Amino acid sequence: MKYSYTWLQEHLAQPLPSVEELARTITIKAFEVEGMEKFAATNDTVLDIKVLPDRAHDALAHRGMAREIAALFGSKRKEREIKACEADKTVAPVRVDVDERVLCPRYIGVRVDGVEIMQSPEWLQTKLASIGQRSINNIVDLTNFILFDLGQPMHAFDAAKVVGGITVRLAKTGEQMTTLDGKALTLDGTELVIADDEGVLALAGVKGGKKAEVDSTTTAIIFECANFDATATRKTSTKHNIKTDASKRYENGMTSELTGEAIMLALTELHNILPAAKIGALTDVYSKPENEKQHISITIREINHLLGTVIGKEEMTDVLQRLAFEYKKDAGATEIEETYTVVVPVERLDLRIKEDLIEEIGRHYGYDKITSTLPQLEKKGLPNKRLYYANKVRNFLIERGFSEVYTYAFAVPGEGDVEVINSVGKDRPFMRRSLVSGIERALLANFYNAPFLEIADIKIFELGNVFEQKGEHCSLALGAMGGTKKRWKTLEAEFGHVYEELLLLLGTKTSTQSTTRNEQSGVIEIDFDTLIASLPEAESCEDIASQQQEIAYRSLSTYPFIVRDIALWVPKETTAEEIEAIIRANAGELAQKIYLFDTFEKDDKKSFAFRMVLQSFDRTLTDDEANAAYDRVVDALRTANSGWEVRV
Amino acid sequence: MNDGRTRGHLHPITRLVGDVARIFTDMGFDIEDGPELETEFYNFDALNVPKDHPARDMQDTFWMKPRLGDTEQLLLRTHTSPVQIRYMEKKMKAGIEPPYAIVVPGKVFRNEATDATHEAQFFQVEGLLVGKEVTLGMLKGVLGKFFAELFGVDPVVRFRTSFFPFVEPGVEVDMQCFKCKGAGCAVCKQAGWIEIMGAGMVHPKVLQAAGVDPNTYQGFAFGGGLDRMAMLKWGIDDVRLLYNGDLRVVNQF
Repeated sequence: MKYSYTWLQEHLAQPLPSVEELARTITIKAFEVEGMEKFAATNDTVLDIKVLPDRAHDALAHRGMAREIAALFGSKRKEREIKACEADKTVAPVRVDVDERVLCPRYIGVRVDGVEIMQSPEWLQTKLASIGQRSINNIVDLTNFILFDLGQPMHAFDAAKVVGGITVRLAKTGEQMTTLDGKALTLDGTELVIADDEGVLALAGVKGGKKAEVDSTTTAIIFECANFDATATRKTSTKHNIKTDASKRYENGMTSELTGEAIMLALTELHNILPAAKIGALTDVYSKPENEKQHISITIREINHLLGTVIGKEEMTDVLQRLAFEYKKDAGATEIEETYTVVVPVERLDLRIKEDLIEEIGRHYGYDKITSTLPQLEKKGLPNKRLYYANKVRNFLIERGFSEVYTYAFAVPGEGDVEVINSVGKDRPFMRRSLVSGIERALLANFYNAPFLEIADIKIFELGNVFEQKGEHCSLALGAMGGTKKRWKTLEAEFGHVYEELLLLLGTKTSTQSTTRNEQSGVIEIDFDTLIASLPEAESCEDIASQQQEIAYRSLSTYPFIVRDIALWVPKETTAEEIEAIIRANAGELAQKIYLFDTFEKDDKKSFAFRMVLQSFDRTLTDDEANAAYDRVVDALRTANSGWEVRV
Repeated sequence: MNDGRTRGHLHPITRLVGDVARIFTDMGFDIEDGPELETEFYNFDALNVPKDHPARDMQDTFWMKPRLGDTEQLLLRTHTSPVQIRYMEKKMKAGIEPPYAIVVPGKVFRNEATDATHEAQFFQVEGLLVGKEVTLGMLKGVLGKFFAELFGVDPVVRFRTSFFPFVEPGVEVDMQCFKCKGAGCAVCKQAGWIEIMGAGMVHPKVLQAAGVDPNTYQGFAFGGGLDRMAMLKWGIDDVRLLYNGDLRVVNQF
């Protein structure tokens, strides 16, 4: 939610710290401040603060946030002035029937006559604008002000359009309504609605309806200030896909006590804005008042025992005072065993158990004061069986020249049995039943990149879960692709050997395996869980063969590369290094790779073939650019030694 | 040129899982795993994330189409935390009381729009330590040691107040940037700190759901993205490159 610095200040008796300090402290001790924007025209700064569900009950409003700030900085709160006004006897009271007392713990309705719909006063417009809210008219703006100031959603109905009284009930199956923003809804009977004697006025806690919309001709209104059940509100809001500032607050749970306070503030402000308006008597249906306060009892020892802190009596008292929590203290054998019975403020629905209160004390005390310690665990830990054998297999396979790939667990129709309802891309709604397709795709993609990879053949493997009708298991797949069909012939034989060797390594006889072969490639897939099923548990940690050298990762270009080969005859005593140095010095910055890929001797001469892989990070290279690099290298080689014969 | 006889390469996530396993088994933690296709109970309910609670929105979930004979709603696990429950439950059923010390590296899924830093599938590492004297200070110590070994510097660990339904207190864990040591650089986006994990003290309801007595035992749990750690450690700039089988990435490791 967006919070205005100057608005927050209204709730505090002492000046706020600087915006920067405020943001820093809130971020560490309370909520993440996700953004800040300064507005020169209004001399205000708006903070975007992410309040998570545990604090939505109280902190999704300026007052709640200001109270948090007061506790963080030890400053005094300032309450808004509320003027109790005598109900105007000439205004008819609102008839309110709450059929669903559990789903609507409290409903306050009040009629106001003599209303004039007009633009809001400037202070109100400015306030709402500061947090990105559009001003609509004085009445709607006032309800929004209460929402963002106290966190209590309110609604205003045009009293002339309400037939009879107000009933809070479940919708009838098939009942229709149109929301304020023109969306037509058909209700299924599970939704709580606000209705008059004729039909639905609003989807309770979620969205108002068109039927009793306040417009420029409105002269009398009914204010609604109510509390609705969290789960019911969430279900309705999810079902109809309507998320509003009101539903967001209700679905996290609210105290019914706030409604009483909010309606009084709303009427006080209404009187200031429209002094001529005639305010009727409140109809307050509050069947089970929340008059029993919640208590949490705790000792300092318990706090330190969970946090590892050394909080003492003074720190404890300081935090409780800053939070303005009432508490009672009962004697204990020592200072840290005294019991503090803390009265939980009504709006703090997040504080229910000891651990909640420990967090509250701990964060205000400061987690930075917690000293690091290490557990004294008796023995070295062990890997689980799957990881242990997986690492054994990995170490073996990389020795055999296979590189490990991870591919997507999601699969196209036909390649899976288990279907995702809300799939990631509409094209891959299944979970893979096999690793084969992923490996085949990876073989092909890497085959095209072979010049860049400086390899002739592609040899890869993957270890990953596959999903069948019932359950899932870990699968191992090996894939190989020859650089040419001829090379594949050699590779194919090696492939079978690797599988045999793998069984030998693990000391198992057989496993479920399937082999797929193509003209130039093949894939073997093995049920890894079955393969290791009869093997003993891990007795030690099989470390993966980690190459200790520093890895300097190089980003990849998204543009295609061009290959240019340079072959030349040289005298026998010439080394490849000599030639490579000259190529490197002249190839230019587009040459991502330069390597020797072929050598042979004939009579007294030697042939070297070098490959240049040219690629740009910001554009697709043209043949002309590649040729220019090639020509530069050839010229340089010819100039370097007249005895070298470049074959072009 | 590689003629096929030279060594292959391990995937960077495998290397990282290897580092995690080495560092934590040295400290006395066992490595565990669990199913990727999970039940709603283990992924949410047992972790104090009830149905129809807004906390469910914190993790965008892939739900599975019910199959004939399914008695429970299945989903792709959104975190490695269900293994906490499965492990504690298994131990208690076998009559083995805490201490429990495990780490769980594993694949998880989130239904989010993919971009250079978000993937629908990625890896997390989960940690759980349950005993009689386990504290938040111990969490700080264990994570400090982990980061020090993983990133090769001794970073300051910072806890920020946060909320995850399965822990109380809940914290976001930041480490001081290993590149600039807090001065601000490109790696930490000038913040000096790197957000790296969520953690906290295991919620009593979670212990209870797994059959462990919360009046006797307490513990810490943490969870963080391995992909993010890999990206930070090695400067990998696009997470999607980790899952398309591209050897141009793998062969650098």
